[in-house]
Amino acid sequence: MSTNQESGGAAADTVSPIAPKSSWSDLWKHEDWWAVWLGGAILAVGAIIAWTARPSDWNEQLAQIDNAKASATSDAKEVQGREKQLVDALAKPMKSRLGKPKDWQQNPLDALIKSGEYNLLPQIVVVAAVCLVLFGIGAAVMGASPGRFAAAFAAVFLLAVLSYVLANHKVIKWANLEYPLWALLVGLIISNTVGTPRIFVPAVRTEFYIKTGLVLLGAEVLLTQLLKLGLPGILISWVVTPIVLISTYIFGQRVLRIESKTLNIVVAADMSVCGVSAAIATAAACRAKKEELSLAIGISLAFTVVMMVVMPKFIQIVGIPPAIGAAWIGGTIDATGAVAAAGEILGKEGLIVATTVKMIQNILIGVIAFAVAVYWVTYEERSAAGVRPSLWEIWYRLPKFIIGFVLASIVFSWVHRSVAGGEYLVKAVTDGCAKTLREWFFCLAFVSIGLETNFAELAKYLKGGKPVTLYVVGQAFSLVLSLAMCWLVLGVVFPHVVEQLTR
Amino acid sequence: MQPAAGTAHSNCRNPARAWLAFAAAWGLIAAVWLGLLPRIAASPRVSSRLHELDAQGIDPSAMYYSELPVMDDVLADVDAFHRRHPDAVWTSHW
Repeated sequence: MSTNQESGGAAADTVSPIAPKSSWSDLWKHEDWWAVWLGGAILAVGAIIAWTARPSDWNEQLAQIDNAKASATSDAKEVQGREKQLVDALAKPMKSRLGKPKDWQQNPLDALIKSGEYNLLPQIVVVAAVCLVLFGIGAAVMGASPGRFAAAFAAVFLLAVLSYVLANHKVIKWANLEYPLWALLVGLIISNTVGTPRIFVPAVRTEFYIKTGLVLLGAEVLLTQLLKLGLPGILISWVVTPIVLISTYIFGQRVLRIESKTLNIVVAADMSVCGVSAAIATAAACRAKKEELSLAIGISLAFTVVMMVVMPKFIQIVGIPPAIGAAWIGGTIDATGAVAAAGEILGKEGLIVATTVKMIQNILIGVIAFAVAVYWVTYEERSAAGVRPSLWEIWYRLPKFIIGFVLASIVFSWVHRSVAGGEYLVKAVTDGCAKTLREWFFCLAFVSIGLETNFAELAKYLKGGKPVTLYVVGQAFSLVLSLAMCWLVLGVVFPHVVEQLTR
Repeated sequence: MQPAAGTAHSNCRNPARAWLAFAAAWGLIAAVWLGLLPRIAASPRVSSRLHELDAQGIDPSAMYYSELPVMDDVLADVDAFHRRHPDAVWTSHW
């Protein structure tokens, strides 16, 4: 019996198994809906806590910050300091109770505890308890034994802590080797040597963790940030990215003839949008296999390490203006952190342009994940007779967590834009609880993938090197098209932006 | 493939070999994380780069923009730019 079947999943190896039909009982029996309820509950509780933590002079503080921003003589750093203080005050009740391992250099225990400085163990225990209660309730209602789930969850959570400790070595972080890779490795080592112990199996619930994490990620997909770089940002991030994504997918299908369409789209999204987070969202949206998600992430991280070193050097050697080079970096390097590290080499304006372009691209994952989910159920999963499904059929098949993901994005974007002090409330919720819990959920998901995967299965997908070829060709196209667009936008149409930024 | 007793699945049929492979993998990880990586981190060139990135709030392993500590500064700078040049990114001088 496959591990996933034991854990209650419907299909053996997809990130998001297909629901054969839809009924009201899905609302409490289906993982997708549970992901929406749990993610929604976390965000709602976070919002209530942040709202009740407002200082008594909240309105006065908001007015002072607005006045300071409007004044030409005010110190920008001072304004930023006030904003940070306000967010810290709102987030403190959550931030002081939830935590994750810190970075370390010489002693791995520094990740958890450092004498006289910090002790993160109580916060990590609280995270474990929160996760256990939330996922335990969901698993129990869906038919799992609460006792068995609790015992299994303790083991899987400890593996997630170990993964974080491995991922948080400063040199590893410097190389942009993100925690999903190490969570996967920890699980793979166990499942491919001594085997995944049966007692772990009830808590090996990849889909549940990933989908709940994605609903939380929705709160960070702020559509209001889209226009931060105006037309240049939209042209560089929102025109080039979909063209590269669609072209790479078509190339994979028509030229390379990659058997798995889901592998094709996950690699294309990972490469053209924003690396691991895009791969996770797209894989869940199109019900890709877990091995396909792992493979896409592995390829992306390997190339990102090279690109973050080579691109800034190339830009400097060739003499591309820093702002154009930075926009190019932001549009092409997959991972957000790697973009910042590479952009910084080009100077302060490089850092600003590269990270802002990447941020705009990051926000695209909401649209991409939704579009892929709808496209997949409408065109790729049509019936054997080739009949296009009706709207009801599309609704039945649509992975429902995507509704929570999109709704979280819309609600938090609205609060960010329209509520007085909304930007501080949103930041308090994301910084205080959503981000920390989302990262833990993804870490648990990748430990689970590792515990369910064997190397032989993973190697099968690399057959003929097609996924790597797809990535290389797609990335090469992205590099050329992005550079042309960056040059056109910042060098020809909006050269004054570069000039004013440099001043 | 039949899983080993007490396990959901395993690639190794021989339990002794399985445990040996398990120990070897963790031995290698221990050697790299406790020996090699701390040594690399302590080398002057790497150490100074790590400090630079830390000081600027750049986490190269950030998966999403909200995980980047420097993003607050960047957005504050972009907002300040918009206040100084309200139409710069909407009007072309072309």
